[in-house]
Amino acid sequence: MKYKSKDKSKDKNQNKKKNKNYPGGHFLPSKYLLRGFYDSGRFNIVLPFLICLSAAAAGLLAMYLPKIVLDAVERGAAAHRLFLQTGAAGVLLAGTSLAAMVLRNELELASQSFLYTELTARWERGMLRMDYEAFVSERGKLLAEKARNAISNPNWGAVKFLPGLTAILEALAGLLVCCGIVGTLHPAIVLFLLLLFGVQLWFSARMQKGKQKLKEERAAADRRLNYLAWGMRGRKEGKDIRLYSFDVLLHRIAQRTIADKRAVEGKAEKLQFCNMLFAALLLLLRDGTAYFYLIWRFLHSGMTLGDFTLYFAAITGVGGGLLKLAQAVSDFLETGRYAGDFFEFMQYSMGGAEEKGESRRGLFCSSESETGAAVPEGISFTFENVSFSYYAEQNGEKQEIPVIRNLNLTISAGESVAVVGVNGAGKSTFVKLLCGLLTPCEGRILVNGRDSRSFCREDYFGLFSAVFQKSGFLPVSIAENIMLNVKRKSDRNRSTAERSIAVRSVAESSTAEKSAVCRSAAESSTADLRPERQEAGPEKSSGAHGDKESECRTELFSDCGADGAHRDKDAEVMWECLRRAGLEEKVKALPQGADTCLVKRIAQDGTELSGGQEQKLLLARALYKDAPVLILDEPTAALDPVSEHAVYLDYRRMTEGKTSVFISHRLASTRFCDRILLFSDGRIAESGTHEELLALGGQYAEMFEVQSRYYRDVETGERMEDREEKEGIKRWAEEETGKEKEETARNQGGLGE
Amino acid sequence: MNRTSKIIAKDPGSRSRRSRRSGRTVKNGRTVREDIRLIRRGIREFDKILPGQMRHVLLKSILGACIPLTAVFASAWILNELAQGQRKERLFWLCLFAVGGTFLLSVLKYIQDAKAAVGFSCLFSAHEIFLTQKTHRLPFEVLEMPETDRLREQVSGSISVSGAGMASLYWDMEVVIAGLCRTVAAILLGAGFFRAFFGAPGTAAQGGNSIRLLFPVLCLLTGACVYISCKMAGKHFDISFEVFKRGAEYNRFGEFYTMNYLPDENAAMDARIFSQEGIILRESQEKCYRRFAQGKRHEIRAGNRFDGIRLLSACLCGVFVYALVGWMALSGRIAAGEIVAAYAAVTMLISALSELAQIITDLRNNNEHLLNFFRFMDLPEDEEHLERCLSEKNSGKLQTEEHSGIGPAEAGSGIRLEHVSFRYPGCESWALNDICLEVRAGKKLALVGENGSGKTTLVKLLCRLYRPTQGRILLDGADIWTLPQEEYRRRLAAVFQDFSLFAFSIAENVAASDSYDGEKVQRALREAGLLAKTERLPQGISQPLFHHFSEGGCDLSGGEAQKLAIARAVYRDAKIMILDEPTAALDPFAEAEIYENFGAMSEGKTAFLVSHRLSSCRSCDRVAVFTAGRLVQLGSHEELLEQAGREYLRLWEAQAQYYV
Repeated sequence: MKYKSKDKSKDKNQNKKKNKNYPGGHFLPSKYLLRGFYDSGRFNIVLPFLICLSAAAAGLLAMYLPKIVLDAVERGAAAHRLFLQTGAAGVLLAGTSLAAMVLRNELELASQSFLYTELTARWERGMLRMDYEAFVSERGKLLAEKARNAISNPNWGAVKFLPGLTAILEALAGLLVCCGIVGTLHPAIVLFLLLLFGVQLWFSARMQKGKQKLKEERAAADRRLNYLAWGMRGRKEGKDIRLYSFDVLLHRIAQRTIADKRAVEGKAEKLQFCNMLFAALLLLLRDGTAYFYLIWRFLHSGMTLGDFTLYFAAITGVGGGLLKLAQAVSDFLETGRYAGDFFEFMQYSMGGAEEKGESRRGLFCSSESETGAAVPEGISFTFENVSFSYYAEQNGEKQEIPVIRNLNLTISAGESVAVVGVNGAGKSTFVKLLCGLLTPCEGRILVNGRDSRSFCREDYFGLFSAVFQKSGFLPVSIAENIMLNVKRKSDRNRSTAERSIAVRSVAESSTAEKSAVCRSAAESSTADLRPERQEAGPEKSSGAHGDKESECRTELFSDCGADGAHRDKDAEVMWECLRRAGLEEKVKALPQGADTCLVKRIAQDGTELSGGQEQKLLLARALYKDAPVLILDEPTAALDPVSEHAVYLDYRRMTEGKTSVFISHRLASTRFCDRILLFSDGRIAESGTHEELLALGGQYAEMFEVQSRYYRDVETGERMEDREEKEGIKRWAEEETGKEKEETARNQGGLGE
Repeated sequence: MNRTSKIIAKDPGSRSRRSRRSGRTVKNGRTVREDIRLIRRGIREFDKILPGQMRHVLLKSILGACIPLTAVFASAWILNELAQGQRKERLFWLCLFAVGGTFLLSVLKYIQDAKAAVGFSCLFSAHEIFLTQKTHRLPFEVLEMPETDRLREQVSGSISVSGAGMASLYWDMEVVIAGLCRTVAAILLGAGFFRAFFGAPGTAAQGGNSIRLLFPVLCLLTGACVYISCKMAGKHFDISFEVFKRGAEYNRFGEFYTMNYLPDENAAMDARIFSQEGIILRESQEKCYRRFAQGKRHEIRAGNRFDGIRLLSACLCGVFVYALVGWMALSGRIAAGEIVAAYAAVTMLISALSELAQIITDLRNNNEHLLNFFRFMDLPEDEEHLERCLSEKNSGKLQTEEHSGIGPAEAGSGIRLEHVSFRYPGCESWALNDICLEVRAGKKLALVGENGSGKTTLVKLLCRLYRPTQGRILLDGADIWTLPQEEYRRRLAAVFQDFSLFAFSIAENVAASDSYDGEKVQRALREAGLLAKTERLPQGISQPLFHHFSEGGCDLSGGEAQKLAIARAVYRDAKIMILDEPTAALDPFAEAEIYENFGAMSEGKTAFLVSHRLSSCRSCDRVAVFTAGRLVQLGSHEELLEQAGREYLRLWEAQAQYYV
């Protein structure tokens, strides 16, 4: 998929939000889920009807059984006839209920399998593929969270879609049976029962409205409670909680919050109680009437005992059936909401592609952009009037917060650029724009003269290798964390071809299961050359799946036998990267070497790295990817001076033949770069080499002065100088916090590039 | 409580012996009595999480069981009356009883329902908060152990994933009560029918013996049916439990991806740039979802088998009862009205008994989860914490204590470390080895060294978060571990690299209390350089942070957050100040500002500063250099620079060369 102009997609989604209440609001999500369910197993779609039939039959038999016995007794029938009739009815009853149970279980199984193998993967894919900007937006987060919630539990949410639908059908069928029986007594009774039910619905709708009013209040109480319950676990905050005795405050706030929640829920429950009370009254009326009517009929028009029980059961059956139906419908609406949440997220994450039925094909790369996939050696960037703003909501009003203002810049191929500036000057945003994680609101970015938006996303990201701040690791082995599924340069062309085969064959593969398996196989193997997986495959993936998968593999890539040879080469490269990042010894010292898993709290036999080691590993990962553009965002913040020094020393080699961008607060690092860009308030305020900028005497010089003064041995007069500098900083800080525009205006003039 | 904890302690060892002694009653290595003990403790703990909740559940389930009973009883009587007496007045009262009784009981039940629902809505959160409060009470080294974390996640997972543990206990108790009620009711309901077997001598004349013989057959059949039900239900539950137990394991992986990794903004950048999609999808499917699906398949297929047998046996038993009752009615031994009641009684008895058996299996399995819960609750605690919490109930006390507590510490000789060594539990090597160090009151010490050289460990020892394995730390001549914890900590203010802020108000974050001194908070904020920012906020210092807890909270930049953490230390106004890498992520100006303020804030205080930026060492009186857990150099910055070929010079030159 190509980069879309985001304004369009935003509008679209806003429309969708408005449209959420239109009558067909449930239709599209339903279609989406049913379609997916159908694809995951055709027989599944028949299940609901079979369940309906068997359940209705079982219900009917259960009602007739007492009548058979009672009638036989009243008639004084022969014993063997009684036995025969009851026996036959009983066997039928047993058979039908058994069938209903098994079918229900099967449906449950089918929908849970669908949840686990399909929906979760869809959500994850959505999360990973959605535009980064959409991902970080408030709306994106909200939708993602709602969608996650919709599929987070096998017992409720979108997974109950089909069982919910079945419940409605079942209730309807049961109702029809009961109505039929009651109807033979007197049709007016059916009407009476329906009327009662209508009254009840009306009342409970009113109560529901009252509950709706509490919705906000409830959400607020929930949010507070959730923050206390799941937002903090007491471990990360452990030190501060202990040293500052936060536990007392937390305890008190928790008590208060729980009390608030109880109060809100109490209000809701009061409404619910009224509702139930009313229902109980109606029940009183219904059963009372039924008893009196039936007894009257019994006494006056010669009804048998068997009929009496049958009709009474049917009358309660109609009432119960109606309630069941109402419950099933409201449950289903609830489920429908979850389905809607999920669907909306999927739509949002794909930028509307799914709507046009492109979900299968247009996964990530459009075929046309693959032609442009050949990666040139040198990458140059040109920023043309690039501006970027965040939108923040404050007091219900959208505020535009400009972060990058009208940026013009050329980074030539192979150049290494340092980016410095105070916190909040726009450095990180600049990097995100460069990486294509964000797209400019205005202006454009040219990559080797071609608009960055014309690239397919995956190819574009393929250009970059990066060390970001605050990155985490996956709970897989160190080797996998480094190698991931990144294609090294030499492999790139081959795997592009593979991908196209894989995607095509996925689209073509007929049976659903196979397609699911193939897809996952295709994903893992296109994406990567993790050959160790190939070897570990049979043990790892169990039984049938493993077989199918490997079958799939051979089908898809009959020529990938070379992978084994790649393995050694890849491992070699990986160790080289680890060595350069200064982590080789540490990894070798681990009991399982590079196969040791990370994130100990997840992978139990794993290990935990210190902050410095993590940063080194991130560096190793970035080196391994070996992309034409290298971005380092504060890669040495957590390193000790010696390791930091080592990274600097290796910097030339790391960036050899590459375009590189280095963000750092340590101005020392900037000396290795060809050019230094000083960002201030979203603009490039100063630009040049270290010496040039020092000579300029602007903000950079000031910053360098602040940082370096303690390192220099100016023994005499230091105190005096210090004082002055201190004041200088204070003054500067005040200026900064006061958002003085003057300086930036001056800088803008000085930029003139 | 003590006894149960003993059970827990000896649980694994004594398993085999006990099971040999009485094979049948042992389940999961526990006898019935032990299980009952665990359940009782569970109920007690539950009452701590949601006080009074169990009572509502009890009432609710008793009432809930009675409602259908009135209907069944009444309809049986009505049928009887219709078949025999047909007295109108009697019929009227019976009808009234049927509908009126149901109505009254329903109303009573709904009241309890409402109360129970209110409590239940808080159960999951209250459970989590309860656990988190326990983590607050753990000694720090226990908190830091990965086992603790894992145990906690297990306990949390068992309730949040499939409602086991405390939630299961709660639901199961409801079913147990209902099952008991129904059993009793079934026997009452069937009384007339059962009596018919031994009936009045008059009726027994007509072939009474064969009828009497049928009674044991009925009993046997019912018994067999209950037995099959129990057996099958038990097997089914065991399989579900097995599947669930394994599920908790997989869930960790799934949850990691869905809750932590994928929604994370920073991780999202990596995921895109490094195209991690393949590996993430593969991992989450392989390690979690596919296994979930397989487990579910196993469980449901087993359910088909076991529940199918159960259903068939119950159905057939019911048919037999109908036929029997019908035949007895035909031969006039029971009234026609009894037919329905008799059938209802027998089926109810079967279902109630098998339900009970199921729920007992479930309860006993659930004890595995409860055991985890108890294991977590039985982790050792900081003893003083309890006392403090109790005294905290009257809130004013803290403030006064805080002020008075500062007094006696003032005149002192500072901090002395005597041969302090520390080894992390389960570790072979020393994190700190034989450290001797003295810092006089009012002096400042910088701690430097490579990553992993023991600086942060030393800070934690100073904070009394860890207890030295060997040696001791003296404050004004007294071992810090002999001082009351609260008092010691009150003399200490620390800012860690990974400080945490809470989504409460700024003032609460600074003062760590909701009864704070506003002016003091402002003073602290001013000193930390954050007052200008807070004054611009609409609610000033009572502005909440972030958006998790309150609406309209404000966000802070990295530097501001750091300053807020420092303000917290300033507010404390302690004599000892510790800063652990406070500026790693800050720009040079913010960094300089913080070090600048550090000078002013720590004036006259004993201060420890950990930093990779050696420039900051110059502002300290002395520098302690650590290598691999040892103190290798100690002296002023200038002195150390003169020691050629040593660690400090190496570090300094690595960094300073770029600035000279």
